[in-house]
Amino acid sequence: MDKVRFIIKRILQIIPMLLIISILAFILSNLSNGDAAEIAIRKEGGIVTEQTLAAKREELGLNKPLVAQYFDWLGRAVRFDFGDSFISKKPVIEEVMSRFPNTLYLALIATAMALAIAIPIALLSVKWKGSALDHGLRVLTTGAATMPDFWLGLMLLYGFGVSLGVVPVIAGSNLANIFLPAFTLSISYAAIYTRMLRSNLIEVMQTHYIKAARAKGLGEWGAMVKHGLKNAVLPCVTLVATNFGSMLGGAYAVEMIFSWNGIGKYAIESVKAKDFPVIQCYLIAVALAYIGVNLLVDILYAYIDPKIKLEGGKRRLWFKR
Amino acid sequence: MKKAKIASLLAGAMALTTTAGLLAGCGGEQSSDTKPESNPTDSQAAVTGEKEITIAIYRDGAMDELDAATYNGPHVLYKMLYEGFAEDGGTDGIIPMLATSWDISKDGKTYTFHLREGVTFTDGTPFDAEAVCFNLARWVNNDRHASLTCYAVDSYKAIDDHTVEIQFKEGTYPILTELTYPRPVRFLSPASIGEDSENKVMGKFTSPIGTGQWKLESYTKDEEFTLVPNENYWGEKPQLDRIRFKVITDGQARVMALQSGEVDVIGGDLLGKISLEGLQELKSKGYKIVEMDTMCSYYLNFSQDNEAFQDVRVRQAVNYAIDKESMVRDLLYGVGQGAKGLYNAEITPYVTEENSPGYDYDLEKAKSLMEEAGWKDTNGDGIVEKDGKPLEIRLVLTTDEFPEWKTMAEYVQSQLLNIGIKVELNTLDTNAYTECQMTTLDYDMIMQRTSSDSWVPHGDMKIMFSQLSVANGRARVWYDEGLLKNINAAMNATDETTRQECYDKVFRQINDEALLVPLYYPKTSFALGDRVSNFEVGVNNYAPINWTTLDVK
Repeated sequence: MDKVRFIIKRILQIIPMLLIISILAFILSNLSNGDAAEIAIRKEGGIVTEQTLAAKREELGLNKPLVAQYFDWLGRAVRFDFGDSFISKKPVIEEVMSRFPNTLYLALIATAMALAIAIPIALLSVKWKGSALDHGLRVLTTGAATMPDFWLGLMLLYGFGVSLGVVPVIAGSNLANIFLPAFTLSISYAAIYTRMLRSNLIEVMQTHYIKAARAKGLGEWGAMVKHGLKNAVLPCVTLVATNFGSMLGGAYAVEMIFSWNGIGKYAIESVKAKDFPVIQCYLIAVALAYIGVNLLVDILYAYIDPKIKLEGGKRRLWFKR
Repeated sequence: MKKAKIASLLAGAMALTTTAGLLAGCGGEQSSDTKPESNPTDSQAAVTGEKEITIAIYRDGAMDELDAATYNGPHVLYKMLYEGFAEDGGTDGIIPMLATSWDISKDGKTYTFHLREGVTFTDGTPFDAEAVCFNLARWVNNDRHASLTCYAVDSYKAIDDHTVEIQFKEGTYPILTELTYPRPVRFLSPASIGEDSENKVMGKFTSPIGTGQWKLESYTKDEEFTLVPNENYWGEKPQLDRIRFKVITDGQARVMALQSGEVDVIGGDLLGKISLEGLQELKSKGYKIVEMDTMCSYYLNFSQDNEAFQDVRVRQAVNYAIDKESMVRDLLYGVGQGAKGLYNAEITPYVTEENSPGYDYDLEKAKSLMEEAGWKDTNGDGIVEKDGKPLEIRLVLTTDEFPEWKTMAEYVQSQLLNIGIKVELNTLDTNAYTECQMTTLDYDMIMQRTSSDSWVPHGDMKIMFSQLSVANGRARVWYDEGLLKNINAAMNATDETTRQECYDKVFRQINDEALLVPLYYPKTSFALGDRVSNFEVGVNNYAPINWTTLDVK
């Protein structure tokens, strides 16, 4: 009962959040440089005069006061009608949804890869804590965490695509080619997860239940993998979920370099073109995905960790450093 | 009980991540074993015996928006799929296409086009006067095309099935040239345009159906599209059986795709430029590089509201102070040429060495001109002053279109410091730059480029020197009544000699009054893979490659 109420409450909280996001987006995109009507005219190859500007503003609904424009948009948006793109003239929802799956696949695989890399490395460095291996891995992960993904992407593409010729340079949103872009995207996350898992593991390994496990005859390795890891991974769930949420916003550099038609590239193009309907729809979609993922995690926590109670929309957070 | 729950959940999650990781790994390996995508051209050609070439393009083909009347989609495709009355034949002048000949009345206003007979669109619809009028109705007198003289039409009519007469409002000489542009004057099959009960004329575009040498075979949005020869084409048939265009947005990725053999041709201003660095890399690796002249030119211009620049001597000093030759040699890898006049006199119509000599680097002369104009460094800080005010200016640029503008602007900054002008660089994003360039004119100097090819010089002159309707009577470059009068006189001159005389006056004034600072004549470059043969550059950037001769080994 409590859980159901909690979930309903959280879902209701989404509404004011989306409103605030949409208002902010509306104000910010209007504040940025350039006139949307002027840009649309130039994109069509037309010339800008007072007359063509006025006609374009009317066509795009930009002649009304800002507040009226916002409520027009809101009135349609609640019915899931996000209007037509200023540039392509096609329904925005189609444009966004046609690219969203590509971003979703990339985010899923990249998250999976980041964990698949982080967990074994963290185990190794805790097993041989303080050794040269541990220090070496620390240097490596610090380096990886700070590596810009456009640089890494280009290097990988050059190495595997050009020098070795084992993968195509043009991934072209083809799932068979997702490995390199996902790997590029995953590396900095993998590094962060490794650091976090390592410190959690070290802490967990000093608890009584691990001592008990050792006492009953389990080896260090066995205790770490069987009992320690589970408890060390748990606090990472929030971070992994938040990062997954932000990956759903797209990865511009990776998408550009690997010719991957995700939502990040489209969002940047739309911001440059001041394509308001697209920007609004994009932000709402990303915010929804982000909030949705976080909500799921909250609910998940209640099931996987009975110590956590869902109350008042708050939950215990772990910050370990 | 609960512990078991957690354990099973976690185990599930772990299993999932590992499988996903493995799967992803497999995906990567699979493509490494079979290599299906890494060179589709080779494998496909081998199977079918067809001659196919793959060309990189920086943007989507927009095949569902390729309407000549609305300007979406890459320029190059309009020229491949559709045709107009006439075409820019480069050194051959303007050559007949769907009109076999035309008569022009004495006042230059009435054009009678004799249409080519026996031509059909690729959907079987005959090309005739009716089809011409259908297309004309879609763009003439539409303000969207007001940058063209030919948009202003008094009347047009079909005289018979194969003759069309158009009465233009003004008899300016560039009309015929404008009719060769990739748009709007292209003829689409009426079937390209969907039925629209409300608006018969501007119905929605559905698919690209033309009379051109090529027709669309397949299209995957944002990924690739293929063109195959139009088997019923009236003119010369191409050598290839298919051109595959691969969309690669990133410039570095294009350079790599050429090296991995996934594409055969990269480059071309409207297909996807090669960066200067990329060009050096490909040259050093022995790729064949083909260069093509373009009439485009980069320049700086002055704010007409800046008092210092209202003095012609200061403008001349700035021109003398910049060593363009050294800039090209030392910073731009020797690609292209340092500018003399606004346009490259070797290739641009009506521009001559005499009317556009430019300013050779001469630091002493620049310094003395500054002194003459009253600008002296009185306090020894290296910056000149006049009436106690130091000469500090803001130079606006954007690096979005040409990354090398940053290098060039920094060079200009250092060169102008030699004559005591302190330059602050202001790099803007495209939107802010365009606003600054066209609306607010909020700069002391700004870096710009000219149009290119068939827009030069007539279209460009108007763009640069006519008053902007949104900028208080100022022009994009410089407003001078006398200059604009001569430009218009050149447009309306019906004989070549008078036209040349008018243009001589125009270019002489631009040069002598130093209305701008010409900097650089860039080049268009292509890089070719091993398979390519008979590559010839086309007549201009709209038709960058000779598609007829292009072949593979």
